[in-house]
Amino acid sequence: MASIEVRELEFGRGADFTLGPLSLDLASGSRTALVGPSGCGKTTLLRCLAGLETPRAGTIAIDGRIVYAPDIIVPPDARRLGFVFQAGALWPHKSALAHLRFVAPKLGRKGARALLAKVGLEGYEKRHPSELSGGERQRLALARALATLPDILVLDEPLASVDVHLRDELALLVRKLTEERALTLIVVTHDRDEALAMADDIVVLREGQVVESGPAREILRAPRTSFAASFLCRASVWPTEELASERGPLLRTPFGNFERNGAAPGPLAMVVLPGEARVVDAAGERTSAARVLRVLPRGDRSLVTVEVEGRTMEVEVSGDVTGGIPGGVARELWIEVPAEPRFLVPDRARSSQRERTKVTKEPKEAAQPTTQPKQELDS
Amino acid sequence: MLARAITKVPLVLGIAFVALFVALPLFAMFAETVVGEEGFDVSAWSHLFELQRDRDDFVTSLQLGAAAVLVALVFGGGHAWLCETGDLPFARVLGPLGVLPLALPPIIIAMGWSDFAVTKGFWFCALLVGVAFAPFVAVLTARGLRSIDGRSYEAALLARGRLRAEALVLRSALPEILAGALFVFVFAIGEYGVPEFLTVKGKTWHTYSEAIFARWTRRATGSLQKDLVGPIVASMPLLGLVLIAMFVALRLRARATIAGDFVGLPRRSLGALRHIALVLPAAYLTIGVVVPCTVMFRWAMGSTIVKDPMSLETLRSSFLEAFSQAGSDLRYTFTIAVLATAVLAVIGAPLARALSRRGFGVQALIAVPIAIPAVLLAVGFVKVYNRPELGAVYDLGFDFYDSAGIVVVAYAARFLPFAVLTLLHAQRRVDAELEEAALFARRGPLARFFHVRLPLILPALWSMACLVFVLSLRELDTAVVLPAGNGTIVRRLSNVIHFGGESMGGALALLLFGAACLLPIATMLITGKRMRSLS
Amino acid sequence: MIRLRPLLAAAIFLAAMGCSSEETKSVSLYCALDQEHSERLVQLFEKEQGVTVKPRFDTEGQKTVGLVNAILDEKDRPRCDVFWNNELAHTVRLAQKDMLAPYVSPAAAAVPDRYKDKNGLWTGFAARARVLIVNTDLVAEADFPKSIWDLIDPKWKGKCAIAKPVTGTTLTHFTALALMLGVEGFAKLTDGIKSNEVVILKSNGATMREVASGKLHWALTDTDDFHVALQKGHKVACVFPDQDETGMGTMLIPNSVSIIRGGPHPEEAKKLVDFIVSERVEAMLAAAKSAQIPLRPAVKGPAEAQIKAIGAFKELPWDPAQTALALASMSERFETLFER
Repeated sequence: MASIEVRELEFGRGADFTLGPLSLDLASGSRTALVGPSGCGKTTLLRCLAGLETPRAGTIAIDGRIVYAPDIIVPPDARRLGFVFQAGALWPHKSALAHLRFVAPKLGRKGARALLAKVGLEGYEKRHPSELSGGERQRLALARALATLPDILVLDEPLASVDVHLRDELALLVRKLTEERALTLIVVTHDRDEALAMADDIVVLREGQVVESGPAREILRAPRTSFAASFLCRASVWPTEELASERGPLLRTPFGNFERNGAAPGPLAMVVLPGEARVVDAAGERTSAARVLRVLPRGDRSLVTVEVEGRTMEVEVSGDVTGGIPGGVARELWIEVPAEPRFLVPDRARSSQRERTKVTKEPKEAAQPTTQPKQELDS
Repeated sequence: MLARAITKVPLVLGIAFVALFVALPLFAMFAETVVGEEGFDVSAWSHLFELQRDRDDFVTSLQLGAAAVLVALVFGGGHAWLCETGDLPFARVLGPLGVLPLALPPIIIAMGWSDFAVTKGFWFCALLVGVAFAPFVAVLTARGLRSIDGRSYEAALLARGRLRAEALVLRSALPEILAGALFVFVFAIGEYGVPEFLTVKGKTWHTYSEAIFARWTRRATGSLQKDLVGPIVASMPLLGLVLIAMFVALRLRARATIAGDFVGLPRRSLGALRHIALVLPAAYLTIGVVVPCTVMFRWAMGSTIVKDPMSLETLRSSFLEAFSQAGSDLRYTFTIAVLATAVLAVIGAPLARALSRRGFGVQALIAVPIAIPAVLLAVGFVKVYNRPELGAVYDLGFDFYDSAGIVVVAYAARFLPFAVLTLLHAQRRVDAELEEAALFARRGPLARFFHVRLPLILPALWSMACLVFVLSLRELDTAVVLPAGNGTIVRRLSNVIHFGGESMGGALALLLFGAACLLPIATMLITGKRMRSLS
Repeated sequence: MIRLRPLLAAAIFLAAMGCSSEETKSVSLYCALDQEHSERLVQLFEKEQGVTVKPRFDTEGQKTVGLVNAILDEKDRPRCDVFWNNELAHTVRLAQKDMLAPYVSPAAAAVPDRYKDKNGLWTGFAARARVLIVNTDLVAEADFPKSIWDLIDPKWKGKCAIAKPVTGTTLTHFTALALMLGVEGFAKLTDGIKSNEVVILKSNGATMREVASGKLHWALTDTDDFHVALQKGHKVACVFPDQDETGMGTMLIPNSVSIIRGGPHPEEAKKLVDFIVSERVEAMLAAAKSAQIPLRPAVKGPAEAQIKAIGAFKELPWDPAQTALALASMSERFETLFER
């Protein structure tokens, strides 16, 4: 068990930096998922923590001991950290047992066998990576990372190359092992379910910056940033326009005007989670006309993608409505948003920030069109 | 800390090697061209391409290179294509045989053919040179084909039919095929022995390498600066050409990569052509191996002795004579080849690793030792390592200049490009994460090297060793210049044949061929695997 | 300081090794003659004199200039003691470049003076003659060519050959001819060679092979090449050209031996030179496959009667010094002249 403190960490070459400046505190024994879209720097952060990359500024401390500072570089094997690579990075010439015996000779043959059994690879001792399935390979990678008895376990998209039905099992194994050994866990993923399955906390990264962090359930229930909402919760985000009225400032949205209550000054975006909006038969208060783009059945519910004023929006509807929406795709209908929708500070991408300082565009344009992020599985 | 320092030793050795045995001799040679008896003198450079003859020869060399590439593509490329992807009969046996012509010096192939048929003309020369170096294309084509995902072929097959699917495969393997072709080009334009040997009735064309060689012979008697440094200056355009070719080859090869989740190409039915297609590999091996070896065998049986018929008795006495006269040469050559290979095995990998982080321009520079005539590199060794100042050091007990050591390092320097380029390519193919994964092990750097890094590049290292070993056995030009190169087998062979000793020469050539096949065959026997790659 | 100790120990060890290796006498020989024969002679010398010989041989690929180039390249620290050249011109060139040390060998007293340098820089012995090799199946004895000038006789158009005169004995021969015949005379020969479609081959060995195999009627070559063809049983004859009264004579190119200035073992070098120029060695070379012609009339010549002994034929008078000086420029000129 060990805590991790990252201070003002920067990584990159020349004028570009792909990461930071970034600060992060992970408590001892915590289980954290680093999430964010591809290229947001989560793997880079992980590699900097592990000592596989050298940052150009900042400090990293593990359990209070500095492992990286501009004049201190502690090698990976001295950071008491186990690393599971995305594709396993298993050595093709070594058997499962030899993998463990190599990284931790002190473990002994018996200890190595026991560890293999622990990850569910009993009887696979003599097999080489080419003789293992995707899931088995990740189990072996996990065992290899644990063999050195680390305090911290670091996983880089560990389930990406594993069959869908095996993912939960493996995620549970990770959870179980980290609990048993009281490890601090950091897992990189861009899948919210994976994050939830393995971690208790979430850190959302975007363009090398921490956008939001906190307990996973809280963030998923009530994201504090429109980016986290759209990325993690598939929320639709609408830019708003402030209007003056007798009752105080109002926010104009496609769903009507809403009072601006107590939020911080500056522009705000309306954020609607898929489960919060409803399909209604007729125009009314807090509704907007929409056109159905597609319907995705999800067993007992359906995800309906609609177009509202040129933007897409996802609405969750109970029951399989593939055939239930008369007219199906392209049909016009109305969407109703809750009476007290969320208004959050719109997401500001670093690049668009720069642009803005140059061309001083209207703030409302900073909000991103909310196309939902797909589950990206590198295969 | 000590272990960490030890792991740096090969790289330091490698850099020192390049500095001492590549850069220094070449610099010494270059310096000759700008320093005359009365100081700075670049007059020799003004004679470059002065003569129409040289310009013509240069064009001829380019044409010969192109023609040899064409031949190599047809035979080497065709051989690999049929053996790797078609349902050719005996493909598993024929495939690895595609490297065999490399085991014979091109001059032996030419001698064999001139004994067998009327060998003349530009195209015949291109045929022999092309076939002699076709293994480069064969090996790289095979490698390119193996790196294509079979699913992409199947997808094209379903969508566009067989012809389009084959075109897709060709296009995917093109970078490797062209890289092989460029290697053939590099060797073909540097080859002077075969074009010169085939000087027969009516030869009206000459290559640039022959022109360099002619200058080399004039150097012994000349007194003008242009005679003395003529061959060095004359080889510079060739050097430039090779470097450009190498740069292109490296860029091309860099694009060919393998995805993680990989399915090989399916073997395609050749249909009715299945047996007819055998003609190509058969022709290739006949030209490159069977005819020369048969002629050598006939020589050993006394075919050139008119007064007596060929006999097994002559064969026996030829081999006995070869062993008694050249047995020690054979052992000596074998030892030198093994040692040169060992030197490159130690320094090749770290150099390749260091170079893999550099641009293609820097990587192409590694080709310099193979791009200049071997004689010049060797004379550079004489200039640097036979200095009177070093004499005092040698007098302490170890005369490096007179020892086999200088031949070993000269061979290693000459073949450094192959070693480094082979390993560079292997390095690119090894996923960096496999090595990173070892960083978390509670083991020292040496254990990490021997348990993880070395096994990962071992196949490439072994291919490299086979290639360097074979080339070292064949090397003549370097051996001729260095005193300790006197005892090498190829030098003996070229002498014996010149002085009319074809019987013993034939036996020697066959012994050389056998020795060259020894290491690859041993590999196959020991590992039980097919020799799949040489680069 | 402590680290220096192993180095020091190694240096002492190496020095000790160096001293001990000096105990055995040795001499280094650069030899352009056929290795097969010269090697046996070298072994004989080692056995008799107790001096180890470090021989280095040339290769056909280097056209006998490999060793000359080596001697020149090593001039700052000569490694060669004795240079045994299979011809003369390049040795003379080395003498002109001040690379040779004088030594008048008492063993060569019987060698005619015209084959020895007056300053003792080189000594000639055992020679090859520049002869015509004729295929007796194709040419009747009565029709045998008799002169170099037959090369330009239309009767032999396209049927005879010479080696490319840019290296080896052919270069020496043609350079000597150019000096002797003058501009006009030599131009007549070379123009004729071109117009008469004389086949230009790579080497004398190649001309011999083409004639022996019947592809050509006759060619200009060396006696040793002729002898090799004859021994293999080919139907060939040897003609010493230009032997009639007005003829210029047959060129004779002797082996030459010299001591390199500044070589590491000057005393042993003298012993080796004495051995090489001895009557015995000349006789052995005459009896060998290369059938060299002894320069001493008293030494028995080759068994093959077609290879005439010295004195039995008219020699072409040539000046080695002048020829040697002209070699480089002539080689370049011939390259242009004979190749296009």
